[in-house]
Amino acid sequence: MKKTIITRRSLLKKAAALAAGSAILMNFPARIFGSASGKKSRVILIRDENVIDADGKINAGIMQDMLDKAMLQLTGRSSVGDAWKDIVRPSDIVGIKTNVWRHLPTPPELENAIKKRVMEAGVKEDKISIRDRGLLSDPVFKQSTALINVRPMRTHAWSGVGSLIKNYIMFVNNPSSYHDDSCADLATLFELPVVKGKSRLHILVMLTPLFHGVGPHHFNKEFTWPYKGIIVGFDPVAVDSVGLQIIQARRKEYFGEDKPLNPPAKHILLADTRHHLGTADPNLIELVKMGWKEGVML
Amino acid sequence: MKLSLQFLLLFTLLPYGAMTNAQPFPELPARFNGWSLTDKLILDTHQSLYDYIDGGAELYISYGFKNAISCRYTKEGQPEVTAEIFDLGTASDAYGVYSQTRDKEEKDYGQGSYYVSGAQFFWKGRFWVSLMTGETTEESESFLKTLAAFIDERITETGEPPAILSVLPAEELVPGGTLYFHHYIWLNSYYFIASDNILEIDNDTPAILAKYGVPEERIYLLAIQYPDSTKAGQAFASFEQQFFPGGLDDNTIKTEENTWISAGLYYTTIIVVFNGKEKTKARELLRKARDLVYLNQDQRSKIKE
Repeated sequence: MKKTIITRRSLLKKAAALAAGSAILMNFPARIFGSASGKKSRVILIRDENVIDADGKINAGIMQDMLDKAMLQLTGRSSVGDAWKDIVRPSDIVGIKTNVWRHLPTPPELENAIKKRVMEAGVKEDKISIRDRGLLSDPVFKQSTALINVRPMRTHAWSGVGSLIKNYIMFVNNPSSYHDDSCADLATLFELPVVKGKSRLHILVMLTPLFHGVGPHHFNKEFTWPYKGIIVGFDPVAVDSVGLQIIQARRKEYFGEDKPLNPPAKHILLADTRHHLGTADPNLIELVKMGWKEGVML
Repeated sequence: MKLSLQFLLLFTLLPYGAMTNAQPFPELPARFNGWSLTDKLILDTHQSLYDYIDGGAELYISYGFKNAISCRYTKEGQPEVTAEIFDLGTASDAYGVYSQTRDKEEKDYGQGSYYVSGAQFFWKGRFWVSLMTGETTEESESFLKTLAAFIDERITETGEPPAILSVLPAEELVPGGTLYFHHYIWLNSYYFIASDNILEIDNDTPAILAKYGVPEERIYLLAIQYPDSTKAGQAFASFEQQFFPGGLDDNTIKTEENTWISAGLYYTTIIVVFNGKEKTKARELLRKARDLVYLNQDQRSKIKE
């Protein structure tokens, strides 16, 4: 693949007729996206004020309800059962790829909500695996025919944010080999034989996203906030792009001025412009906002 | 042969400090103010650092990581505290990690420190010290500071910050707004410049990014020092090809954003000023930085004489 050098000036020249937008994606002055099809990616953002209580405990029933409503909206089906039949078949072997980062893991309540619906769609329990690490030695993941990708978004010291695109890095034995150029080419993970063509659904957890970190593994609750949402879609780039906009908006709100991610989350933009995995272009994302509106930031 | 292999093995397992007669890691206490050291990790390879930080190791590797220790402290009813000391080989690199981390400069510990909720950081000599707690309680915060003072006292060596800082004009320089680096990935930290390494930045090219002026009229200065004039010339030509193939007018060019870039190569140092709202502002900052490069060069020449 011929590598295109993107500079501030080359971007500006090409982007003269385009609206602003990707500053939020890559500290860019304007936007240049790769998708030429004009087809929009549908993304569902659903929030519920009561999904987390004052002690930070997740209400499993509300979590299930949020997922169900999002799936109905995403698929356009009239029943939850039909919506999930669009995602998995009874014969599928389903890997649910989560994230176990100890400060902000994929919540078990959401894992269970997904598993319940996958089983109701006819997939046997022993054909479902939920995990983050050791995927290449997990018999279900090794034989999987369908993948569901679910993780919280958080700032990340090298890739800008921990994203759905980045979540597949555990499908390789040497994750650090994807770290060049601040993880620019993470989208190539989706070309791995163990992954290619299997992703059925992407869910970005935005219940308490981490919007700022100092150093590689700094975590403090002060830099999370109760956004109380999940973002659901078929296009991981579009879902990540929406999540990233929310993170950037929160940074601006918290710090009182634009505070770009350092390094920028360029892997999301390049998943579109270089690898054509999906669209990061806000104009090509059909964003459906559901539920709690206060502080939605979009 | 056997003896040589044993020697080699011993050599590779020794801490950097032990290999160089430099100060080794300070010993951290087993018990301190009611807190107990419950875990201690020695990180002496890139892989061990990758395993430890789960994908965030590159920051330290890009600043010359040699080895590190990580100690976990616990106390009943309190969130755990993690104390890490990184040996980065040089004071410049320890300063570099500091410049990546701090939003404002404090002088509470070491040669420069920074406190942000749940974390106390400082650099001293070739060491970068990071103390963190997952949740901030009065007691865990107090322990962070007590431990920081303990470690600061036991690191006896100090070091000089990067020499390239001396090309930064002081006037209107934003406090805490400088970033030292020698890995191209940090080029866009303040302001998007290019997706690729068009300025040929590597371990032999100390570089600095600096913010000037108020946020509404922010100007960014980039200075990169090359090991020789050939490499500096190549890098400047590469930058020129991407940013001003038609050349510069009085060292400046107007961009599509209606801002001004001002750039020049002085001896072996490239200086670029980005985002000037006025031509004169961009050019003036470039000239001030240029004069400091000349001054440094004169001083070096006099020392040689």
